[in-house]
Amino acid sequence: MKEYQLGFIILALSILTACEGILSESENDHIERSVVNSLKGVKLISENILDGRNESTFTEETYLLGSNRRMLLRFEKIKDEVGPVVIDETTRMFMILKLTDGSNLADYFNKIEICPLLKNWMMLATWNYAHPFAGKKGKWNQPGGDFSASECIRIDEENSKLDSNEAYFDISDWFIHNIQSGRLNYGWVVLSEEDVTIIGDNNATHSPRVVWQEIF
Amino acid sequence: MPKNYLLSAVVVTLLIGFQSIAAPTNVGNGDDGTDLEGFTKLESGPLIESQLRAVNKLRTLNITNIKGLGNLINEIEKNNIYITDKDVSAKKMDEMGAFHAGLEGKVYARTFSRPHAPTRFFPASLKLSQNQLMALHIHEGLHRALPEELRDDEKKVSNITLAIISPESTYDQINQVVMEVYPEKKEQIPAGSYTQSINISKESRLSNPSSLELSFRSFGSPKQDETKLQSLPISSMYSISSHLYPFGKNEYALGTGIDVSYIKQDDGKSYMGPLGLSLRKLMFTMRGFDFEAYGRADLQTLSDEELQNSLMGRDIYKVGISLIKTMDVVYIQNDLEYTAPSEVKETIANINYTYTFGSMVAARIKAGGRYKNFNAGGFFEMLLSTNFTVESDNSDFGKEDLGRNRVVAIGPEIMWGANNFDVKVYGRYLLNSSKETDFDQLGDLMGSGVGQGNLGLSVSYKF
Repeated sequence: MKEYQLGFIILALSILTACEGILSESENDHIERSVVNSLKGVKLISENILDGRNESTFTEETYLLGSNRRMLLRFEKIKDEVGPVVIDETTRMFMILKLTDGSNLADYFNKIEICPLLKNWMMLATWNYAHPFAGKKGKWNQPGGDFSASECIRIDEENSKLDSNEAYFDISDWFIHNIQSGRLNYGWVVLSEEDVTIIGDNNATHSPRVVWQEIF
Repeated sequence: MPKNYLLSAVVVTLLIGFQSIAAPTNVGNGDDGTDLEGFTKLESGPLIESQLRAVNKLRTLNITNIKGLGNLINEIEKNNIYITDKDVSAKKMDEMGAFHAGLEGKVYARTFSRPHAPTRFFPASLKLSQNQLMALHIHEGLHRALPEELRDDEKKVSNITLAIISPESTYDQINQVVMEVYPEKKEQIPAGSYTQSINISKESRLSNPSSLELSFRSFGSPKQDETKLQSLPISSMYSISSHLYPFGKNEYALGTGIDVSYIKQDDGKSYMGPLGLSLRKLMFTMRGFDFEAYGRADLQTLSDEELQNSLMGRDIYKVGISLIKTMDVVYIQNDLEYTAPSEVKETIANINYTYTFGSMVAARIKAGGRYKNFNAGGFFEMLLSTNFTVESDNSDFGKEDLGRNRVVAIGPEIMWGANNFDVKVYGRYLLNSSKETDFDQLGDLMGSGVGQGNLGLSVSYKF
């Protein structure tokens, strides 16, 4: 083989490789730019669990939520984790919760919602107490967590992935008003009217997380 | 030498005999000036030579280390010696008070039984030998140097003099004689320094300040399950305490304490608990109070990671004072204690928390009655802690500042003691607190303990 033939083959392979990347990207509707995993700071609270140190309430593979079982999410230092991002009509901030296999995400579209918490809480939180210090001062004003009902967010049906059971919640407005403007971040509480099992913080790949991504 | 000693002994013995007749002594009072007519201060001569010999002998015997004789050399060495022009009869002196005369009724010397008083020798003393004069110097010096309760007792002074001037006298022999004549539990006060002595009460802790104690405490449950703070459900603690006071004098003792603890959980697991180290000074005041000041450090033992990673993993540094008054039928004790700020870290589900304890002040009153070998009473305690904060690392959540906390506790205490052994049963119960706090939140396992209180049993030997 002559030298110019070898050079042509190498050039052709390089072009093909580049084209494959472009084609791959254009096939996806969502391109994740930043991801914040909530590997730290997932806490289950239940009417039936009074001990904040109960080991079944944190670092679990899955959490069963329901009318008397809720999940608290911290997302500490989310601003630093995400970095400088622009949120507009095409780039949004989402929280993703993945339901376990066997669930049908579409069944929960109007039954799961996330709500920003209004009170400092600890990993020792229970259904009645945000933290065990300071007696009544450490109690939730409402058992199950203090949150702003008007700011609760339901599943974004358009952007969620039914095939992988990943529920997307558009938290862009909350991120702009609370995180980018430097207001308090006490994390979120996940509410579900029906029993649903969500992948927990002991699963490195599918734990609850926040992503900033473009939508088309 | 034996001959001289015999003569000296005879002189001293006669002094005792005469003095016993002249007793009670009131040395120097009633002086009408008869013996002072014409006296001269001596700078040399046999009286001065014998004074120096007496000082040298006392130094050789290391006499200053004997209880009550600490100032004797100083009293003799610095004493101004005067000699009168005339002799005075023993009869005349007898009318005047204490003096030291011989068998022939001659008066040899006279002094006042108070520190630094001058000594007047009479011409008759010049006929005595050097050894006799030396004995006379020592005898007169003892009248000035001994504690107030001894210096006027001619018999005791003479016994000590004899012990010193004996040709085969030793430190131990002299010390033994001094101990025999010494009033029980009286402290020597160096003559001329200050004039009050301290009588140590037999009830004082100074009688047997050191102790070895074995104790067991069973902890009550936390105040309520949902505010349970302790990561370790501690059920009981065993400890051995050794508080030794090897230093000090009669009226105070200085020592150290070591407390080793061993804790058990509800599930049967056990760990080494905190190690307590303390420095203590116990004093007896002139008003009959025991006063103890102490500094203490309760350190977590490094091997027990589970305990360290909890509120109970706090290292504690505290100082305190105790005032104790023990009377025939009642005892009262006030304790004031200050605990320095400190912090401890705990990781819960991969989130790191820092608990910062502010300073804490504890005020405690103990009181009770005594009957034979039994003490029965109780205590009331108020603990005020400040600025307890909880903060997670790298968090947007901010700091939870809980401000001042109040914990009030009471408890009974019953003790039986005999032959230096004490057996004590005691309790501690949470009476009242702010913010639903229990003892967990104080993080003082060795002190107030955990939960809502505890029951304890201790056996101690005091020495």
